[in-house]
Amino acid sequence: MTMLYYIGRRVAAALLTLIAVSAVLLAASEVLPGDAASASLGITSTPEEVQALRDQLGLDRPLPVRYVEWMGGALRGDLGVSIMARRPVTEVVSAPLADTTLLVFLAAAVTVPLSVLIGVLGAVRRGRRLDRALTAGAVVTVSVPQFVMASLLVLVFSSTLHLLPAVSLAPVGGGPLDRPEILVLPVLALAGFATAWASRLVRAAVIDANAAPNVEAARLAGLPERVVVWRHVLPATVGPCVQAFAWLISGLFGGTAVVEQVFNYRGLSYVLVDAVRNHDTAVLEGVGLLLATIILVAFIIADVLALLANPKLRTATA
Amino acid sequence: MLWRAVTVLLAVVALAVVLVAVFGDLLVSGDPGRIVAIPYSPPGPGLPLGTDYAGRDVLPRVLAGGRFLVLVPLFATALAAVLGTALGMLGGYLGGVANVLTSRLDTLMLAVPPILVLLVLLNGWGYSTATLIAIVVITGAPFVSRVARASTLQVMQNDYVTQSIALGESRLSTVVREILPNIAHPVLADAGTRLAIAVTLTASAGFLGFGPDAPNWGAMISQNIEGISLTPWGVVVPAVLLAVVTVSANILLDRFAAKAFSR
Repeated sequence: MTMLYYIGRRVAAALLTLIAVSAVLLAASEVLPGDAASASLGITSTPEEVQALRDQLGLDRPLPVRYVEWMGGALRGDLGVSIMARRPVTEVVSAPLADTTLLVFLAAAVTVPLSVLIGVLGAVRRGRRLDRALTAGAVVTVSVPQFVMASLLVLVFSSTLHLLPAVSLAPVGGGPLDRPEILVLPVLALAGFATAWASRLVRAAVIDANAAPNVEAARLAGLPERVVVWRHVLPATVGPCVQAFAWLISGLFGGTAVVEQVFNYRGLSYVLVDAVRNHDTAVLEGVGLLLATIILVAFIIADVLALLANPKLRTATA
Repeated sequence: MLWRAVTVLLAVVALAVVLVAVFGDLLVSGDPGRIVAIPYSPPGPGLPLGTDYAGRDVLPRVLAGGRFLVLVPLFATALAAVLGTALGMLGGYLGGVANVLTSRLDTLMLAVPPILVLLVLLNGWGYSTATLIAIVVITGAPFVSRVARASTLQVMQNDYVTQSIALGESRLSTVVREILPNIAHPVLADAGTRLAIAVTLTASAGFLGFGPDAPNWGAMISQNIEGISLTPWGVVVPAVLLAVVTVSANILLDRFAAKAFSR
């Protein structure tokens, strides 16, 4: 009962957040109105033509009205029309969104176990040589811009060692999974950064949990170390770790925006960058709304998992 | 011992790279946009780093391509630090609704990938240096604000703040003279990380094609990556210089700030 109440509250909070984010998204992406119509028609268009398209797109109506219509459409699976492609936004973005989600999913599948391993190792060997080396490696990896890391991976693994393709174009008529080797370097570039970042949070969570009063008490009471770790340390680390992994989803989607461009991987990055260049606002707003929803769902899932792992949270008032 | 030697070495290299980035284009004579040889020529006499995708000399473009990526983030990070600190202190000092509102705002901003904010605002406002600075401030200030708010709440528990209020000092005086000096350390300890992220975001914008007309390292990498197997220098040199700037900002500046302001 309390648990359902808690989850319901989280979902309600997420919905409110989504409403706020989408309102800001619509307002922020349309500060330069009119450009959408004139950019789409090109410089040879007459003012009458631009006005006609503006009327057709409804660009002259007040923002709140358009916001309600936009959200209403989104609920029915209609995100408007891309003015460059002259096709529904959902049609334009669905395949690239699937390809980008594939990259994010694979990168997360590498990052989660690897960062847990590195984080726990660092925490167990805290302050020792291995921990310091891992820390230094993580700080350096996190600091290097992701497209720089990706370019250096291309240099080493493609143009020098000739092990992997530098360009990640899917075969004509097929998807990236038809040529899985094109996924290796993009996933590596994304997972390298993410692992360095997440392993720090895992390390901190394990160190915190290990120093908690209940763990100390369990040790002093003479419980076997195995029991202490499995019954007391581990449950307390699950919460912070799944929170970190929810952030990871957000960070990985952000990372794909640059990494895909390095490898010519035809995901959302090209859709987004082209939309900005052509002032194709409906595409940008649609992708923004989809990504915000995905990220918020990840946060809700993390909250629920944290709750399941730690019974103390169930009764907490937070 | 080894760690200290590495730090000193890194500091020297970093200083050299930053000097090159900021003053490098003074060494360039002539137009870095001039076409001098066929595209992707390997290094040769007179062309120490070869040419880029358009047949332009890579060396002067490297020398001229760092200033924007250092100065814009420096300015924007300073602005983000000031605004974020003000916002965080406001939330922490006033408490109640102000605290809840500022913290909700921060959490909201922190959940969105900065690169998406960048693309949405570039679409909304159009590219300009001012837009880029605004984007770095908007994505960076919430991180500063979060630290400032937490520190302010902590400092407010201390007797000297209670006394200052009890003695009838003005709110402004309490904030500036009692709270600000005591939250400076945690805020500044984070400054290097903030700067590194700002450089990354600015360079990523350049990489995606949203940068100044003048050469910049981010754009150079995306423009020359297709010819990396013909001649790698147009990618490798800007990539390594950029990495040195961000890594040293993250490691050195944090250490320096932590030392300079620890009491």
